[in-house]
Amino acid sequence: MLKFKELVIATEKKRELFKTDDLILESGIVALVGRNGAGKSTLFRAIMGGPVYRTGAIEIEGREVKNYRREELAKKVSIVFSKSTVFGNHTGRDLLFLGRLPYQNMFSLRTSADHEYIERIIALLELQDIVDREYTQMSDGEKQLIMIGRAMAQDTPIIMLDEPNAFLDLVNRHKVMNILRKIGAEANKLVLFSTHDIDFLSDLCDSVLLIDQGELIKIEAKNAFIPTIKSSFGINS
Amino acid sequence: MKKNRDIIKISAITCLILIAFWFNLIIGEVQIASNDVFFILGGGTVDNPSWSYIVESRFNRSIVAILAGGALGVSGLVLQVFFRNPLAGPGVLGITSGASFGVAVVVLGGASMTSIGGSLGIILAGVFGALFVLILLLILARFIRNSITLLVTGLMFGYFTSALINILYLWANETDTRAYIIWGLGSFEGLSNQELVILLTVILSGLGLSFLLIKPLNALVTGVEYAASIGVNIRRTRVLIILITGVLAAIVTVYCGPIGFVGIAVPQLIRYLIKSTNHAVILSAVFIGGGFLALFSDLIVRLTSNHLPLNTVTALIGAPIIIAVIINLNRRHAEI
Repeated sequence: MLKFKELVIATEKKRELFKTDDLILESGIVALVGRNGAGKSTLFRAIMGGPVYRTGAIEIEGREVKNYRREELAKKVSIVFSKSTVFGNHTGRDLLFLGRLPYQNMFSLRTSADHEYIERIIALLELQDIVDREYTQMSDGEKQLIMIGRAMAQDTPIIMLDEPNAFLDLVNRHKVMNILRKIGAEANKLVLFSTHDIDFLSDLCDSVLLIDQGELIKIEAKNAFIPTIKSSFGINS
Repeated sequence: MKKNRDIIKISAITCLILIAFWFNLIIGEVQIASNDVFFILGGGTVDNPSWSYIVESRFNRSIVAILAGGALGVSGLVLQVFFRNPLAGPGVLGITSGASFGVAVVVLGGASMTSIGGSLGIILAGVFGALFVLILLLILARFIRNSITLLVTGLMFGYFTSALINILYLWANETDTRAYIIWGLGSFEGLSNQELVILLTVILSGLGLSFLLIKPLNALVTGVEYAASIGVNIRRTRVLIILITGVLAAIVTVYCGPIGFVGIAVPQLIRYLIKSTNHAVILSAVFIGGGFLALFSDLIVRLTSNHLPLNTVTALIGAPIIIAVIINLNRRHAEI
């Protein structure tokens, strides 16, 4: 589904962040782990086709992301950031509908198919109680659930989340992790999220991508997740 | 349903425009009875031949007011969404000042004020001035994270261009200076039919183009990165936004003077009234709302015995609205 070929990612000043040989991710839940500044967000931006210094290829369904038109790529990959602000008096529901934008005509009219899709997501993520409240008045946890719902509404095979837990308390972290599990259980979806919470990994993830000393590696054995990360970070306990 | 309520509110504003339009035709230094106005508009002639001329000029003036108010409103709305800043607008960000500077260079440089607008040079100078400020603002916006900083930068552009215009005064003769100062007070009056056609064409084209922005504006409320992730071509959108907001604000400034407060207050009022978050609805409502506010302001101008300057009236109406918005935003701790 998502493939890196001889990929080298660099900073704006062209300092190399990490590289990887050929690496393939199929459906399932995958965590991206690395220290601050290792290049996790930059990798997400690169997958979104954004302006990132890199060589090698990033392919979604066999096609280089840079060769997708914006609207086409929006049907393949969606993203949630750790903090999202909204300008205007949007309700949660308005934001879920924003995820349908790639499928709408130039007047952004909501079709009955859009309505059905949104209702399905509200039920799946159990957003009934918050969806009709104004976004700016929600707690950080509620906001994050809505933004994840919005990414779901985009109906993409790949959903990426850049440190979805960064600003959440323990209860909300569990909520988000449970939701990721639900999304991962959907047929043919790849959920790729970056995190510093390694406690959840063995239970939740199918594999882990680790940025280790300038190299992006894939760890597939569940019992190797934590030991490999700890030894990479030089943590012994 | 909020959708139905929005339709009722937009219809109500449209009715208000029609009422204000009608008042603008019959009220003034010369009161003309409704049935005479009907008769003249229908192409008939009345006993007093000067009435035909008066009705025609009031008619043109009202159309100019609606177009100018609508255009400023749309320009302000697009800027507010793009910069995600409820206090943005063509005036605050210095775009109107840029256009004014363009006009000043040509007018104070000796072009006759009677030919203002008729002369292609002034239009081009105004548009060029507005686009120059906008492009500069967009370059600076890359380095500015804080929305207040952006507003202050815009205000500084305004002061800077005012200073440059003051320097131009030194070389200008008395007639040109006087003409420029009167233009600066703002007015919807005195456009020839030919100028009205130019204004109409430019504003309707700008409005037509702004429909291409409906999806991008809907997406941009969540910021540039999210907008790109849901399929918005940011580069194309940025170019469209510069062109549309710059040209709309500039053409109004060239023909009617630097009119303040409409561009910032109208989008605020409409977003407060209209609950839809679809910019297909918001854009249309802002155009109609801007048209009404301008027409209403012009009615006040004409009702006051010494004819208050238009900019005085828009400030008296607009400034309290903007203060109310700031208080409301602070009370709700809204993120801007």
